[in-house]
Amino acid sequence: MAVRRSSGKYEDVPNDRQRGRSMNMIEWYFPETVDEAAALLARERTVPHGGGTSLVKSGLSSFSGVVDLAKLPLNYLKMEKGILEIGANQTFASVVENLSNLCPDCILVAALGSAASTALRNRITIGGSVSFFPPWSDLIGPFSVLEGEICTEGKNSGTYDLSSWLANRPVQKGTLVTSVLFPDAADWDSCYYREVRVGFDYPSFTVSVVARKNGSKIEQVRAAVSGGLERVTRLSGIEERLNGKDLSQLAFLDVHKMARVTFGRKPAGSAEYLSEIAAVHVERCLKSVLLGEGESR
Amino acid sequence: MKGSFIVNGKKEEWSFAPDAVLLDVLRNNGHTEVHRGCGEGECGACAVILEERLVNSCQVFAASAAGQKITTVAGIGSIHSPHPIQQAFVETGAIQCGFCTPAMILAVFCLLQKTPNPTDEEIRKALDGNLCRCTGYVKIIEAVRLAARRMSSNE
Amino acid sequence: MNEFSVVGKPVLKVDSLSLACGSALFTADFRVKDPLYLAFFYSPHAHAEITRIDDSSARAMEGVVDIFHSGNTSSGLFTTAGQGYPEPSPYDTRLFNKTVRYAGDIVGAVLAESDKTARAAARAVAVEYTLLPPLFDPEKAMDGDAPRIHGEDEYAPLPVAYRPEQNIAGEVLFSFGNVEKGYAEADFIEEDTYNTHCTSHCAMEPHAATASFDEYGRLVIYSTTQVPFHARRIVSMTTGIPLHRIRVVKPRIGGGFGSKQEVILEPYVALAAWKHKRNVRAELTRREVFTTVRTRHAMRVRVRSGFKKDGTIIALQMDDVMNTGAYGAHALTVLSNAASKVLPMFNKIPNMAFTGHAVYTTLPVGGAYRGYGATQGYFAFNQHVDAICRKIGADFVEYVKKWHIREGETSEVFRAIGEGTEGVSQIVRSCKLSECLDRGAEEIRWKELRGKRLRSGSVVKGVGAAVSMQGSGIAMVDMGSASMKMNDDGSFNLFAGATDIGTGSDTILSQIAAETLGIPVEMIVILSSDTDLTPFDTGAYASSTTYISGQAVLRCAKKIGDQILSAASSMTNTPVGNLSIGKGGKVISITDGSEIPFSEIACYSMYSRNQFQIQTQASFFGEESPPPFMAHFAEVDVDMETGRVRVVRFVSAGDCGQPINPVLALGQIEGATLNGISYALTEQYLFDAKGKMTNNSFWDYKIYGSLDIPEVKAFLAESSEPSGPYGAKSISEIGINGPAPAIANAIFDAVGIRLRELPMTPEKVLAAIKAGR
Repeated sequence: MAVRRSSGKYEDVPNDRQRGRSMNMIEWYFPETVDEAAALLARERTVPHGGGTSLVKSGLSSFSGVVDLAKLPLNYLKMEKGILEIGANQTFASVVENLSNLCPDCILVAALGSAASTALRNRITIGGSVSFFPPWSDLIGPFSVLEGEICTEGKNSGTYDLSSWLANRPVQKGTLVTSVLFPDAADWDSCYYREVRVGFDYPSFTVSVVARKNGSKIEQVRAAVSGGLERVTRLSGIEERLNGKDLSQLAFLDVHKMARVTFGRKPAGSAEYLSEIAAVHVERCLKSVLLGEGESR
Repeated sequence: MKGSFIVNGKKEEWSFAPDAVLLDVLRNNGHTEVHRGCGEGECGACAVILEERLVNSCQVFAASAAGQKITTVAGIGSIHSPHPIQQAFVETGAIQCGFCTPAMILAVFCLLQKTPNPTDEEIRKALDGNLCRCTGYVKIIEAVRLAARRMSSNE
Repeated sequence: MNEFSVVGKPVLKVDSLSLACGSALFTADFRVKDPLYLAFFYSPHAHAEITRIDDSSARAMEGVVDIFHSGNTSSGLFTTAGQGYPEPSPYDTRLFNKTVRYAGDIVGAVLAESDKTARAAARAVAVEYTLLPPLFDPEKAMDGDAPRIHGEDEYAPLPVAYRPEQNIAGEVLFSFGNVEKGYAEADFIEEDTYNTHCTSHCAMEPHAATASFDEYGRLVIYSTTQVPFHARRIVSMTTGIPLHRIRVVKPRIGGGFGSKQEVILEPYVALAAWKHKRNVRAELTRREVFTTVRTRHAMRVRVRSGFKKDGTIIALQMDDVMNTGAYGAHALTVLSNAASKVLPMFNKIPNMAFTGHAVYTTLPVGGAYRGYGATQGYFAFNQHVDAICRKIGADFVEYVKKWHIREGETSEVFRAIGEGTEGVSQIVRSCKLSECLDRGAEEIRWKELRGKRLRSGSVVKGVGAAVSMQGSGIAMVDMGSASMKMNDDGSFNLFAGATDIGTGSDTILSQIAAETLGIPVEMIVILSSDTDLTPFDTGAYASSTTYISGQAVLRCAKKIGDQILSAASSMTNTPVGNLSIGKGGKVISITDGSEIPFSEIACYSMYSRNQFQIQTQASFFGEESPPPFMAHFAEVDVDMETGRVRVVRFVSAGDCGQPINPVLALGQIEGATLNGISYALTEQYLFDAKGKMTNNSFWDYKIYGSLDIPEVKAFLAESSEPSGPYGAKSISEIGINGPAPAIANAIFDAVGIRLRELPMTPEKVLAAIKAGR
């Protein structure tokens, strides 16, 4: 029915009865196999729900079906020979619990363990987080430095690395994330930093650094900053200058300059400020991981 | 749509809209001890225990909680027979306005289940999503220490 | 020292267990039959005339019962401020204004069968506006060419300065001596300007109100109110419903801090309920609470002082411009307190002048918020004093100890500045501020850390201090009342108008009554804040409950004690003079030591002879407002590379006279302290170019949680206020005045940079460090 807006224009807006009718036509599905879920997700206006908060926040008004993923056999975490596979239904809390036993130094423990709040970590799933990768994601930085992969079933089933996943959002439509894979997740020294205004907050940026050393030689180092205009930025310039080099090389790097990432303005600070202190924290994380200085949070 | 829930040990069959959140379904069916502070998962006042895990009930679709066990603060103790955590909160003066208290107590309950002798850091972390504007958290942390001491000495 | 049985003891809060177990009921928890729901629609514009409201499509929605707005509902002018009548705040708003004055101003309300429907319909109302020029800068509000925000028929009910044609909602002018002469005699002149910001109370319970009908057709309003009696009066005034047909009941309240000293929702639910003879509920979302409810007033404080080399201040001037937002609730009184609670602190200054203006802007409305102007004033005052000390090489603690007001002294300011009426002269009878300073300085390790700038990497440590005072009720204005009756078993019902909003007043009032009658607290059954059942009380504000309501209860209890003695006398045929109230619920004969239990006396008076109900009442208003005092200390770590300020430890040492309940008193200090810290560092209202708040949720409005807390220590000095009930003064507000200036002074101690603007975010601190200011 037509509603006259304050601009003077008439707009078509469903009245409450119409909205109510379509609201009551939302179906909830609770599939028990991945194939079943994938088939349901291929339908029009049907959305997956892992238990996280994004769908609650955005609402169900544009959907006619919700596929609840909780019954799928995707709630597992396996670590074998450094290969880490996490089922999409693992919550942040369960990943932290499981990894605290299997690989307590893993950067994912620090990152996911500080995301959101206790109650929210009990609902946010790996699958949900990967599907949305919001600008404040605590997963994306570690995902980037550990060079994780996203495994999916359904319409566009396959395995995706992070950049192709982020570059190709439409690939997610009708597709079910079943797990994430980290081919080389163990035996890293790591440092994770999240820039927050108070403890329970969504980071304006995060810094993730992982490295392997052999005596005073840096075998490999990876560093990423998330939250900038690009979802996540690998600091490849720094990595190239340090990979295979002696630890002393760190002192010769102008990290503050090389770690500059472009930000947009956020409530937490201006673009210039965020860019400047992100670089400060990159330097601190590098020093923490490589030289053992200072704290890692 | 309809769903059944086991709330504080009692089986319930409730009707709700497909997009209803658990907070509203609980409150509309008499569980006013679950409080709405923000409706956005940012304050923790609505927290309940869903199958052993602390969750913000305003961020859980009732449909996705159907068939599961839910515990509210009324399920761990009553005014006639309070739980040691409830008693500890009373005794240390950790309750001022009390609006955050039910959810806070459930957060403590979950913590002590997993970690019977938590450090102060573990306590603060377990309560990280439960905002309190009245107490400054000082006596809340004292209450947790007291409850932990009493509960572990009883085992 | 005084030995009390129940006063001064950590008696368990009487409602604690019910709150812990979930049986306690807050406003939104009450079930009423077949409720309708009220939801509001708001202006998107900062300043506009409403030219047309088309609610036809909203009315056509299924479940919509009615829609109220300026097109169909008129009301008189009033103020939403919960204050004594006639209020010192201007009558400058109606239930539905034809001019909207800030983005978020109420335009209308939808009444519907469900909350969801009401909100959906609210979105469907089409409103047309003619835009008017906005005014966002309070410094420009009094300019000749500033847009005029009020000034049709708005007026001030009390004879106070009110000049809406200049956007002036309140003005305070005060001086004595001759400041110019003082400056001429000074060795040094120091002048700084400080800016505080507007913040939200963030009580965990959002505002709500339910209007329902009892079996006689009277309107019963449950509401999240700090001021049930003012609410009843204002509801009657705005809706025309006869006052005697209205009952306001305050249930458990989930925090107020001043946000609920405002009559916002009650008139609307009453209006809707009365018109349709249906029960009506309204509950604000958290987002609405940020913009629809009041804020702390932002204030600019310019301080100028002339002082001698030895630190003697000869002249002090303060010039405040306070942004009161779109409406003037609490405008004059918050502004007054920025002077009246601050300037007396140094009462030996011979020349003083205060100029204050509360100005309208097209921004969210300032209101009552814990500290009430003193918080803003002390941010400036304490930093200014710190600067003076730096200039003359004095130690802040020793300096303040030397110059602060003392027991037996007075200040010109008390008499000069009231709250809309004349101030009241008073002598300070209890002040342990020096002891508080010493205790706090020791706890924070002042001597070990001050000026040392201990460094760890890029992090530098500093300590800073602040002092403050507040009041205990508004002298000659605030009144509280209580009544009591005795029951068969020697217990008493205590009916107090006083409003427990989580502070524990039900408990301390019970303690006062119990102490007076020598009985355990359990034998007092308290019922409070019900306009039908309890006598009048102004409500929970101005730190009045312990001092004023407490005195009312004490006097009532004494009077009932006299009745008990009288009954015991006739019962035992003993002269009253030979009897006294003993301990444990009995009357003792002074002559032979025999005891008569209260229960026997009660039964005698109820059933036996000359039967009467042992009951009485008492009212009290304060003839003075004895200030509590507090010394606040902060230890901070400043990260020079990021500007991040971490409060490591915070110590508050306060003089509240005799604390009735030390656990509750310390709890008030601890909570106020943490609120004050996030007020100083992280809380802020962010606006877009159109004056709309962009961060109206906890997502981007950040308050401290359990992960952020520094080590907070609170202490109470040994003190007793002669005019207070069992020696008590107030405690609930003062704690919030210290953190911002103490932290700012600590930052200066650490890095030599003075932050004069709140909040002290990392970006601001870093910019200041870089600029070297």
